[in-house]
Amino acid sequence: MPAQTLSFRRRALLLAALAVALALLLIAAYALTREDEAQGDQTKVTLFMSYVPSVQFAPVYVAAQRGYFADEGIAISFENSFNEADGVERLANNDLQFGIISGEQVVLARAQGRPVVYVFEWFHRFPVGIVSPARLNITRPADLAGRIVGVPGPQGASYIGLRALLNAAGLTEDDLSELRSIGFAAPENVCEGKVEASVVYIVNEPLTIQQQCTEVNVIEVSDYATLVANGLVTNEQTVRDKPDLVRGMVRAVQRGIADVIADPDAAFDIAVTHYVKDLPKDQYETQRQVLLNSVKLWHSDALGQTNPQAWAVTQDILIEAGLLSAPLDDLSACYNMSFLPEQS
Amino acid sequence: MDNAHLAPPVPHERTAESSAALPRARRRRWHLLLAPAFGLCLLAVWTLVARSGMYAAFIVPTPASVAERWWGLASDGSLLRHAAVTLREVLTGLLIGVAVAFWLGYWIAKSRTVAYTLTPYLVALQTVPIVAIAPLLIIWFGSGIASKVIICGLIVFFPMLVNTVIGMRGIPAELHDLLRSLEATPLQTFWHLELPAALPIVLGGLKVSVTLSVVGAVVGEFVSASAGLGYLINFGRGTYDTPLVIAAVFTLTALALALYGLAAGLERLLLGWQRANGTP
Repeated sequence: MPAQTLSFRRRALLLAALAVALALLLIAAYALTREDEAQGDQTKVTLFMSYVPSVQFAPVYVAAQRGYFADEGIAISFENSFNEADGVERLANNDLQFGIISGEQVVLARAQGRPVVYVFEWFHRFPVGIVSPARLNITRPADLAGRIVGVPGPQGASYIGLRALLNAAGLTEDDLSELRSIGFAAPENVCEGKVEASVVYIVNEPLTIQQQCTEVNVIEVSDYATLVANGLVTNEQTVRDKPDLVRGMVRAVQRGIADVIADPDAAFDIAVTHYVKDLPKDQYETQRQVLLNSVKLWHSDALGQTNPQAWAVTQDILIEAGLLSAPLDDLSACYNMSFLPEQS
Repeated sequence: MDNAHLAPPVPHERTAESSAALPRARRRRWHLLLAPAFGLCLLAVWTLVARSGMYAAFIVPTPASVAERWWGLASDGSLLRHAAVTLREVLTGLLIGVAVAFWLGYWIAKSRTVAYTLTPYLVALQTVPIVAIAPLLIIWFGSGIASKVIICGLIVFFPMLVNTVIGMRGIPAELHDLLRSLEATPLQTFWHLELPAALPIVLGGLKVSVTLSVVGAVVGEFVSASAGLGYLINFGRGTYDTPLVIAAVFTLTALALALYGLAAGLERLLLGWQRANGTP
């Protein structure tokens, strides 16, 4: 054993070398992960988004890359998380000023006294649906009766979407054979036949199932109910104290969406070159299709404008599902469309 | 808390009469082959399952597709970037967590007042599932490195604390009496008696903490991150890129093993005198 024969001095030297190596390792780790500092005259904004970096967020990537945020004096950075509720909590605490949040979360948060405000509607069609293997012939909400249906969990946009579809068919959860919580693993569960249908995010998951195992049918929630989908959300403090910042964010996001709708291919290139860098090239074609599917959900004659009726329907579904005990005192406080640029 | 029980059992010394030197050396070489051979068997089973068609390729990918994905990440530099982020969180959290735990453990072992005051709270802290409070820590300390370092520090804290207390309390009282009779100062007592005597157990705690530190960083990255190996796993899950998930998990394992190796090396270096004296 070499250690047995080492002198005290030699051991001390080795120990010192180990300490230096550790320090160098730490310094290297910090140096490799150093982030660029924002320009002094710009306001730093972290935009919270659920899920992971994806071509579905191409509008904000395009807005960042083409300087639309910088034009508004904003140094933008993006943060993704699977837990949307955490983002809402941080927005309510003003730890974050902006996030892309789904409409039902805004209603639920305000019911719990969280002062979040929806200022721009990004998705004009609700992005949730039910996917099932084509051979099962599940094409209408009524066909779900007696089926095993998967859902990420009994909350969130997916669950609300399912409840809206069941309502449309005059069904309840009891009419299903089973409502199974499967987390975010719909493709695995559908391909393995563990569920007969599953609630999914329609822009990507049906595509994955189709590519991996079987032809599918998709029932889109937006064909049966008008619910409030994802949009730009801020908080009352930011609305009150920094209205120009809110206006700038809204304008930059709107320009980004318009650009992507006009030229999805360019947007895709920007996204994968600068922001979704971990995407392997063999997935490019699939992800290009995901972006095109997403664009279909963003189209609107009045980009960013929300529909008050959709908020009322969303609230009703939440009450009916037992997630909200009573209507909000002022449902219209959930949204504020005054920051939208004048429509030309 | 020492994990010495994980190490392979050391065979009893054989007498020269019972066994010749050459077969013993051969046996040692054969033992060295056991772990790689077992690894190859696992790899073969994995390949068979992946190729059997029992599962879709995106559920159980082949080892070759994982290796290809890993190589792609390594060659374009993204693996290094993500590993550096995790390493930064791990090392910072580990250094802070271990230092605080050692300091607190020392005082708990030395002072009944400190022990009676803090122990119930420290045990209670350990019972809180870190996964449950990680989102709260992100809300309180932001989504930057601070929250991950705190999560990491919390997760490494307890094993180090417990081992420090056990190590310090295990020092025979007569040795303390001897140092007192020599009129040693508290610093001299710490440096010449307490630290060397407690070191074997403290280093056992360090080895456990080192492996847990990687788990801590990944828990933090799972909740919210824009880089790091935990983020990479989340990204893989989100894009149904199972080879990426497995490649990132293997890299994490390699990182944990490397850190464990460093801790074991430190132990060997610092406790060489014990081996030389024949102490187990």
